[in-house]
Amino acid sequence: MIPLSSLLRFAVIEWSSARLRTVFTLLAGVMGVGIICAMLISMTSISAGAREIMTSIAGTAQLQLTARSADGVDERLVTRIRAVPGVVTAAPLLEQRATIRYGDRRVGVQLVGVTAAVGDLDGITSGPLLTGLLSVPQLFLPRAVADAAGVPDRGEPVVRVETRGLTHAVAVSDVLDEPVLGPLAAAHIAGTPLARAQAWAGLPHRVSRILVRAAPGQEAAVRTHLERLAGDALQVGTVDDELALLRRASAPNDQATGLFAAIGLLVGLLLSWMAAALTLPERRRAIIAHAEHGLPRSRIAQTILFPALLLGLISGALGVGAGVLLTHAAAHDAPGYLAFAWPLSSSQPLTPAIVAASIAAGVLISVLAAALPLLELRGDPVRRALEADHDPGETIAPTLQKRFSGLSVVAIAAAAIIAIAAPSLTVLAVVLLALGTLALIPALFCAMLAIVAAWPRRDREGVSLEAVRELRSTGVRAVALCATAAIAVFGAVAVDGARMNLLNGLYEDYEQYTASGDIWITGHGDDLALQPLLLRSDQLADLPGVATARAYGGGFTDIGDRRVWIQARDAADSPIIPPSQLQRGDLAHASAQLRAGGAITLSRQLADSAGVTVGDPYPLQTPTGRRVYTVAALTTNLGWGPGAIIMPRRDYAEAWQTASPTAIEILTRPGTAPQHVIAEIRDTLGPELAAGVRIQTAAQRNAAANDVARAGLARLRQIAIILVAGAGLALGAALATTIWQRRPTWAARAFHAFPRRLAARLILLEGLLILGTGCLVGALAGLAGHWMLGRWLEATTGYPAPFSIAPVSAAVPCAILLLIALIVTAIPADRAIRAPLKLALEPDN
Amino acid sequence: MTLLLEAVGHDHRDGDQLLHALNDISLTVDRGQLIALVGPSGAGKSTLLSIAAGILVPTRGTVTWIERDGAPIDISALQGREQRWWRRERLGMLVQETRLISGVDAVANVESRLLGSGIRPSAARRRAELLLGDVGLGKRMRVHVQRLSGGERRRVALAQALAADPVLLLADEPTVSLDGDAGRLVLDVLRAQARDHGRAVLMVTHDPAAAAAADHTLTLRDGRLQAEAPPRAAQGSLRS
Ligand SMILES: Nc1ncnc2c1ncn2[C@@H]1O[C@H](COP(=O)(O)OP(=O)(O)OP(=O)(O)O)[C@@H](O)[C@H]1O
Ligand SMILES: [Mg+2]
Repeated sequence: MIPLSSLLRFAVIEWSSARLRTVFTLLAGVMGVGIICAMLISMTSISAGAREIMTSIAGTAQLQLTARSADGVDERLVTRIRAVPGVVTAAPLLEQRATIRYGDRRVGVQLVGVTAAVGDLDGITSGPLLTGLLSVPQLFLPRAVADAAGVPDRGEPVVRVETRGLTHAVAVSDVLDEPVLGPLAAAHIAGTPLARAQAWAGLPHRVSRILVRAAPGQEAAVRTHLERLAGDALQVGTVDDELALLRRASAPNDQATGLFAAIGLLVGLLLSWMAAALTLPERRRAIIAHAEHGLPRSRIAQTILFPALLLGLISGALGVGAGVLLTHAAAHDAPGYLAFAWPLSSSQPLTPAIVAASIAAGVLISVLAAALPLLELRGDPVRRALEADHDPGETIAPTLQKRFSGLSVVAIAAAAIIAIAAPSLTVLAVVLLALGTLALIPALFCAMLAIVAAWPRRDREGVSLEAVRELRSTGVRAVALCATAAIAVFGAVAVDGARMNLLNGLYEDYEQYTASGDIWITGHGDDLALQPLLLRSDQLADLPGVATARAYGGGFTDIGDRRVWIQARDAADSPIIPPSQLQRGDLAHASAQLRAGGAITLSRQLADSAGVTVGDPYPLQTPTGRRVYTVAALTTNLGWGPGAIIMPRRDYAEAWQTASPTAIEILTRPGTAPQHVIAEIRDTLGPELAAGVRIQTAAQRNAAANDVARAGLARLRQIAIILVAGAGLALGAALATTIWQRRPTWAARAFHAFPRRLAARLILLEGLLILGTGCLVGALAGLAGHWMLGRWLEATTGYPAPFSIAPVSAAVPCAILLLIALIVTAIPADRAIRAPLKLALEPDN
Repeated sequence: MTLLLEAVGHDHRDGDQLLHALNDISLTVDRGQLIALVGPSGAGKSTLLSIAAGILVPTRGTVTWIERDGAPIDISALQGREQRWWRRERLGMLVQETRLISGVDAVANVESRLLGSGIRPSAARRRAELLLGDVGLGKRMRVHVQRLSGGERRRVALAQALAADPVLLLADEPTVSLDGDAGRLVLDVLRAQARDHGRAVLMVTHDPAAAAAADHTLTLRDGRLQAEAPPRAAQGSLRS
């Protein structure tokens, strides 16, 4: 082992001898690690944030009973639970989706009504300050909510709490920060004493969840007891069950994010490989020189790998910083649609695990790139160098091309097989496809050069031949640049294409979902119409502009680890099943079955996991016991990740024992303007009731839902753009460097009266050949990746994502990359071809 | 300790063609000796040096190194660990093309040859400065090597070759691009390396002055050694 101080000296010598390469490797690492880190943060923030919130409230409770009905269960049950032997504490909660309105800003929160009993669970709410606060019959807001709504800290500001179509003006007693609330300070929740929450929600004496702490060793016995007590109305589980439900719902999001992290790693790797390729000949020479001096291989490896390791650590650390910046610059709230079912946090935890993984990625990127020339260490490099008739560093041997192409065919074939046979492993297939594309680049690039060389030319000056000659002699660098362009474009095209398909699918689904009404009345911030309203449809049926007013019901029910969305529809609804979402079954027949009652539609994923199909009976656990329905048709997940069920409203009201609608849909009389009808409805409801609900045309309701969908996927688009723009910058810088390094050649050309105009054309042609080939290959492979991801979305996750290719969306990343790269190259290239003549005479170093 | 070449011949293979580059070469280089090898371009001098270094395996004949205790080592058969030992502990080589690490100064260039052996950077630096002083670069050693003249760069390479304190020094055109004082200085260094440090030095040169400074001059023509003629200047110092 070489002493550390000597290794450090080696590193300093290497870095100062290849400053550009060092800066490049750093930047490449920072970019790759930045993307990886941002992705990891966003992946963990959802589940970590939710876990923090849940455990903060639940404290030491091991068990929980959750009401199956949105109306909760009678709170007197708590007394009976407390009497169960082995139960130490039972704390009732009433949790409701609500919006906090301050001025004209609205923030969606989970309203949590608590009693002093939660204090006994030793959770965050057990602090004396908090327990004191809870005894005051007011509302407290965590910092995150106050900031989002613009509620000031002082002066008892009055906000409006909107839930279940009711609205209440409330003075905020306190805005609580991290020291008091811990992680809850970042949570989108609002706390108030139980009785108040019950009054606000119009659910007197009802609770939605009961947290239970059992005496040590008695959990199993208590659980059995509780299950008997709970009956059908409540579901007994653990706090972790709740997290499993959330994980399932955010899984597609996590996988897409994971894919981007993998692409970030690849791009970082390629960029730093490119940086390494800039000085590949020098490194090979350094290795040969060490071997000439009889240095053991392990020591040669140390001299090469140690500086790379150090560089990787530095770029990893800087990359974590970049990742944090990226997270804050990009849409940094958790996807809004998840907030309909879980209390989410706006915290972006940078956990030690993320830091470690990011830095490890930085080291991997840097070390792998540097390790390439270590292949030289096979046999005796000194003898090989002497016997080789040219410097092996620059051109690409045909045998290597063939080997790479072989690898590529294997990788692409494997990717295709995986994508078709095991769609759930699509993310792996896409990464394989990316690697296969990479391996194909050397052969494709050489083929491209051959085509250009063979092209019938009108170009008398022979610029294109000269370009081909130069690119051939610097094969490794050119291919590295080409591959980097390809992989960045690949990632952007594939992910953005899939994102657009998904958005189109969601738009279409939602449009057909709301098409049964001209006007919709829902709760504020309740885009999925999940909250019961204290309205009745017949109140509005007699208005002059109203043809029909129908009740719509919706809610969640937990099936296994899936929190499933139930849409309960009136028999008269048309369409009752969104036609575009049908996957199996006959639309007319299924609609008729649904209208007749006793039948439901299932998301295909739900049917698959239960092993049922169209025509089979399907048992559903309801607050009134198990009920069996006939599967009328299979659909997509209707835009809700864990899955969805459409059922007749009559059956739903009966099974869930709820009469209150969660939305009212209105068909207007022909010839009546919707705005006019909306005004009529407002008048009828009166200011109090009208303020608590949202009255929208179907188009407005679609727009609001589409906004949520777009925002949820915005990060994917942002990262795609950052990816190609960053690659464009790096590639431009790399091109500029290679042009700059060749200044003596430019000077020599000028000396031989080669016009500058032609030199500029030569540079442009070379740049276009390298980047154009990369973009073309990347875009084509990206479309294949897009197809794979689309298939995965539809087949595995069940999202509606009709495949369509938008050539423009494949061209945009290419254009961004080319434009940025060429702009970055322009000025250094211009200065390089004006290099002083004396450079032509200096020894080539 | 002696380098011994016996009936060495070498054919370069160029596709199907065999090029008889060297034929029937026998020579010895003892410790304390500075031997010059001259000959026209393309005669095979560099090839012979590579064979002597054990980098190129000759087609015919043997290359032997005789250690102090008389044990013979077959240089061209060395491999792996032994080959590394030979290169590290015995051999110093100055190849025909000067290849330096650009972007850093002469000291760093020499240092990088020393650091791998495990010595501390401070010690490596002191030794590098000493060696560079020896080859007359005391004033120029802090200049980035790409700003040095061809002759100065050549001397940096010589300092590198001497860095590991080799017993056998094989130098291909050490005085190329060096004239007058600088050339003389390098020759003095090489002579001192042989006499005072007891190295065996084999030097390829085109330079008559260099040849004249040697103990012994061998002429290579068309792959064969011509009859030896000890130069006047060195006659007095020749033992038997
Ligand atoms: N690897 C090789 N393959 C084929 N021929 C070679 C190889 N190396 C050298 N030669 C040929 O062998 C002959 C001797 O080459 P060598 O480099 O030894 O000459 P030299 O005497 O050192 O010449 P100079 O004084 O110009 O350096 C030359 O004709 C050269 O072309
Ligand atoms: Mg030679």
